[in-house]
Amino acid sequence: MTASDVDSVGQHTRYRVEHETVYSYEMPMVDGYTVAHLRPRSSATQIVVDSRLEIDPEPAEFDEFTDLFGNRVVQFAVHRPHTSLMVRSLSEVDLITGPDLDAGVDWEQLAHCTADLDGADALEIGMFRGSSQLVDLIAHGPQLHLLATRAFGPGIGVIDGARALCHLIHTEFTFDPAATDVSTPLGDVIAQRRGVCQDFAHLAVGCLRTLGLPARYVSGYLETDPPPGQPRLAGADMSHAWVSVWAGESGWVDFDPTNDHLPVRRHVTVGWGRDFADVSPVRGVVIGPASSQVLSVSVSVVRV
Amino acid sequence: MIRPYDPVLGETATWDPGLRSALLNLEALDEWQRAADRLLMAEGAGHLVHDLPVRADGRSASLESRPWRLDPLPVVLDPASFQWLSAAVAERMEALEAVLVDLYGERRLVTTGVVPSELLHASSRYRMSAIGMPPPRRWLTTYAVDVIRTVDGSWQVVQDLTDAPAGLGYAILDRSVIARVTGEVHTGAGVASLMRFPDLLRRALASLSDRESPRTALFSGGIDHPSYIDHSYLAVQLGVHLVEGADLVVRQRRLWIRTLDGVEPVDIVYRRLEGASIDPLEVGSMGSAGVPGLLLAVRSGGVVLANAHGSGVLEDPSLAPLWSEAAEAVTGSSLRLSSLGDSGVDHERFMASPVHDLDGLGGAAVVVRLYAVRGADGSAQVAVLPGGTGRVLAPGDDPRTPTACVAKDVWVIGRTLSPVVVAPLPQVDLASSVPTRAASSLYWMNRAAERVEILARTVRVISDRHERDPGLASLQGGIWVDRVQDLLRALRRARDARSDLPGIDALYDELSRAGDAMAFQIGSLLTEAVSVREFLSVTTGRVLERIARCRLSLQRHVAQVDDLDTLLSDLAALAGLWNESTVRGPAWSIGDMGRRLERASVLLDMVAEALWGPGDSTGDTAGRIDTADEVDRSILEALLASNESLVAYRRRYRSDVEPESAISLLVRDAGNPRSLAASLERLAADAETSGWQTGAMLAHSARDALALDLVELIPTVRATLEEFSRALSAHWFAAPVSPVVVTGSVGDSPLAEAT
Repeated sequence: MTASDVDSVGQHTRYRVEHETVYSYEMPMVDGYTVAHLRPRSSATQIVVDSRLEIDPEPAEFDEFTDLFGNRVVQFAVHRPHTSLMVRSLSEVDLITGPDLDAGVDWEQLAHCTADLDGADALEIGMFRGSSQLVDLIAHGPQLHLLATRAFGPGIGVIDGARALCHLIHTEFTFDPAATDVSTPLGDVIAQRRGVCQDFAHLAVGCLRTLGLPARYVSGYLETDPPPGQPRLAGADMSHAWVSVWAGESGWVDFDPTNDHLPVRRHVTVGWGRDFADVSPVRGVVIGPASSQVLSVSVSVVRV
Repeated sequence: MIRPYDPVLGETATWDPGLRSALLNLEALDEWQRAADRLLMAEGAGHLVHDLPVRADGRSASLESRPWRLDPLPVVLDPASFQWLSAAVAERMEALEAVLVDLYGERRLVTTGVVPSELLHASSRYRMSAIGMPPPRRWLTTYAVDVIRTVDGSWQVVQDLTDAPAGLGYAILDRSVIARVTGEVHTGAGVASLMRFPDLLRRALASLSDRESPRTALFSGGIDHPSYIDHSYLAVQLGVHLVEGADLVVRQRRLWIRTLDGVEPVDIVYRRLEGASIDPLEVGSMGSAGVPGLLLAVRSGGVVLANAHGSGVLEDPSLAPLWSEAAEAVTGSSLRLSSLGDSGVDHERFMASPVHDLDGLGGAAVVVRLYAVRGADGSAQVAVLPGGTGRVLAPGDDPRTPTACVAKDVWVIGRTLSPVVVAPLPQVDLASSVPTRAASSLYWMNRAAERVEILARTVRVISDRHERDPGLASLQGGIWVDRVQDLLRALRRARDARSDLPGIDALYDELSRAGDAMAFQIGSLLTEAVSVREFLSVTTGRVLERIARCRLSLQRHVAQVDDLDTLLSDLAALAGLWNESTVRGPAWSIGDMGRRLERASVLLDMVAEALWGPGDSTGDTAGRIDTADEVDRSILEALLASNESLVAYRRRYRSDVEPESAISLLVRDAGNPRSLAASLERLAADAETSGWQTGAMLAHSARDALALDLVELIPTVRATLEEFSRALSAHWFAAPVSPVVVTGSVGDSPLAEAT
C-alpha cells in the first residue's frame, strides 16, 4: 500500500505524532534552559488540530513565541536540581493531499527572476537563496554546483530538476547514521558520500542555492512502514528533515532526498528555516557539575 | 621593518614647531619608552596577563592577548582636523543608527534592493532574533571607527565598529601613561582632556532605562577575552561592576547579578561581548560565555543592552561595502568620510607617522580609532572623544588587523576643557556588593599568595643553611637531604616520585621542583589577581608585576637566595596592601579566610612531617625529633624559620631549639601571628564578621581541638579545616559551574524506507 493508492487530491489524512526527548545526566544539574521547535505549524498542506507539550520536571518558567520564519518556538527553564529532562510533544495534524506536480517553469528563468526580487518577496524568498551557517556556499560551492548541474540540465523545469536531484542524492549517497552527527560539516558529507536525512537536506539545499534557486530546510516527521511481516512499533519512527524549493507560480514544493520522494505526502511539517540551526528540535544549556549525559529520542507517527 | 621617516612628507609636517622639537627628541623618547613600559606592566596591560597556567580552582585560562607596546610619540591632530573628523564621525554614527533601525525594522533597504537579501541573510552577524523585538531606544550607544590618513591629508574609513567597540579603556589608560611620562611636554601642548568622556558614557548608558537610578554592569568575557584589560580599566573609570557570564542569571525575565549579599537586579548591560555570544540559547550562538535566557529578558524589557543586540551586522566585511549607499538611502545625504575598501595593503598611499623604535625614528602608517557616544544628557547628540588610539601598521598589514602591536596615544590640540589630573585611584571599597565570582578569585588569590610565601621562605631557609654548612648534607649518610626533601614535598603536596639522583643532587633536584611549584602558585595568584583587577589598588598592580617577573626565574631552577629575598619582600608588600589598603567587607573577610586557612593547613602539614615523617602520624608526641641530633635540630630550626618564628623562639627561650617549646610556639601560642592558634582565631573572627555561622562554629571547634595531644590535634584540626574549606565554597561560591550547551536529536534520524 502506498500513499498515492489511497489519497486523492484534497483528501485530509489525520496523523498523531508523539515525539519524546529525554536527557539523563550522571550528576544533578542545578539549572537547565531549553529552546524547542517541537510544535507543528499550519500551512497550505497541513492543519494542526491539536498540539500539547509535556515537560518533566515542571519548568519554573515557560515562554512561547513565533520566530521570523513563522515557526512556533518554546523556551523554558528548570531551576531546581534535576538528573533528567523529558520533553514530550503530542500533536494531531491533518495532511491535505496536494495535486500531482508538472515539470515546473524553466529553472534558469526562475533563477534569473529570483536574482532581483523586491518587496516582500525579497524578504520571504530571497533569504533562502544565499549561504547560511551550515550551508556554506563559499567553501563548498564548486562541489555543490557540480552535483546540481547533473540534475538541472538546460531547459529543464524546476520541479523536474528537483526530482532528478532528489533521485541523484538518493542513489549516490549512502544513508549511514554512523557516518555523521549533528555537527558534521557539509564538506565531510560530500567527501564521504554518506550521511543522514539532515545531511542530505543540507546537501540538496546547497545544490539548489548554487543554481540561484531559493531553498528551505524543513524539519518534521515521516510516517514509516514497519519491515515486512513485522508489527508497527511505537517510538520506532524518527524526526526527519527534507527540502522545499521555490518553484515560482507553484510556490514552495517539498521533496525528500533521503527517500527519493517528490511530492511528499506522508510528511508532517514542524517548521522550516535556512538550515538545521534555525529549527533544531531541542537545544539547551545545563548548568551543573561536569558529568556525562545520555540523550534518547523516540518518535511515533500514526495514521488515525 | 619600518621604513625611514621623512619629516617633510610625514605627519609631523603639520605639527607646531615647538611641539615637534620637544617630541622628536631621541634621548627623551628612550626614557619615555622605558617609563611607559613600566607603567603599562603595572596595569597588567603588557605582559602580565601572558602565559598564565591553570587557575587554582582548575579553570584554565587561555590568554590570547599579545604583548603590545605603547609608543611615547602620539598621533597629533590639529584643531581643524579634529573638528572635521568629529563632525564626520557624528554624522556617520547617526546614519548607521538609521541603517540599523531599518535592517531590523521595516527592512526597506532589502525590499528596495539596496541590500541584497541573500547576502544579508547569509551573515551570521545579522541576528534574526533581533527582528521583531521591541525596537531599542537606541541601537548604538557607543561607536568606534578606524580611520587612516592618505598622503594628500584626507581621511578614509578602514572599518566601523558597532557591536562591542573595543579600546576606549585603552585610550584612557594610554593617555594617563603618556601624560605622566611626557610630563611638561604634554601639559604645555594644550592637549584636550579625556576626563569628561567616561561621565558622558555613563549618562548615555543610564538614559537607556526609565528607572531612576539604573544599575549598570559592564559585561566582559572575563580574563580569557583578548580585551579584558580594556574592560576592567574602563569599568573602574565608569564606576560600574565588571561582570562575566557566571556572575549573571536570568530569572522571571529579568537579569540579576550574583553577589555575596544575594542577587541584585541589573537594568543596563554595557556589553563588551560580541553579539553572537551573549546568549547560548539563541539560534546560531557561538560558545557558552553568555547568559542563558538573556535575550528573552531583553525582549520582555527586563534589561537593556548597549549596544543593542544585532548592531554587529554593520561589521560584517562582506556587507561593509554596502553601508555608504544604504546610509544615503535612509538619510538622503551622502557621508563625508569615504571607505578605503579592500585596497588597504598598499601603504604608500598612507601618510607616515613617526614611530619610535630601537633604532631611533622610523615611519609607518597608523590607523586611528575614534570613539563616539550617543545619548548623553538624554539628547540624541553624538559626543566624539577628543583623542583615540593609534595602531601602527607593519608592512603588508591589512589596516583592519594590524600585527605590529605598537599602539599610540592620540592628541587633539586646542581644546583644553579641563586639566588632566593623573592620580592613582583611591583604595577600593569592598564593603559594597561584590560579585561572588570576584570574591572567589580574591579567596584563591590569597590562598596562592600564602602558599608561595611559605614555599619561598622554606626554600630560602634550606638553601641558606646548605650554603653556610655544606657538611650537613653528608652527615649520617645524607639523612639531612632526605628529611629536607620530605619537608619540601609535604609543602608542595607532591605526587611525583622522589628524586633518585645520588647524594646532594637529590637536594638540588627537589629545590628545582619546589621552584616549579612556586612558579605554578604565582601563576594562580596572578591569574586570580588579574581577574579582579578592579578591586586591587594601582600599587598592588606594580607589586604583582614584579612578582610576575620573578616567576620566570623560578621555573626549573634552583632559586638564588637573593631572588627569594626579593620575592619574599614583594609578597610581604602584597599582604601589607591587602591589610592596609582594602576596605573591610565581606569580600575582604573571604579573602582573608583564604590566607588563614592556607597558613593553618600548611603549618599542620609541616609539623606532621617534621615530627613523624611522610605518611606516619601515629607516632608519639615527641615524634622522631632528637635534639641531640644535629639533623633533627636543623629540621626543627627550618620549621621555625619557615614560619617566621625562629627569632621569636630564640628571644623567648634563649636556648637551643627544643621540640616541645618549638611546637608549642608554632601550634598553640595565639600571641605568635604565624601560629596555628592565631590563624584559627582570625578564621573565627572573619567568619563572625561576615555573619557566617557555620564557618564561625567550625573555626571555634578547630580552636578547641588545640587542647588535645598533638597526635590527636593534627588529624582533628586538619579534618575540621577541610570541612571549613568545603563549607566556605558551598556557602559563598554556590555559583554555577560553567554551562554546557546540549543539542541534538535529528542527527540520528534513520532511513525512512520508501514503499
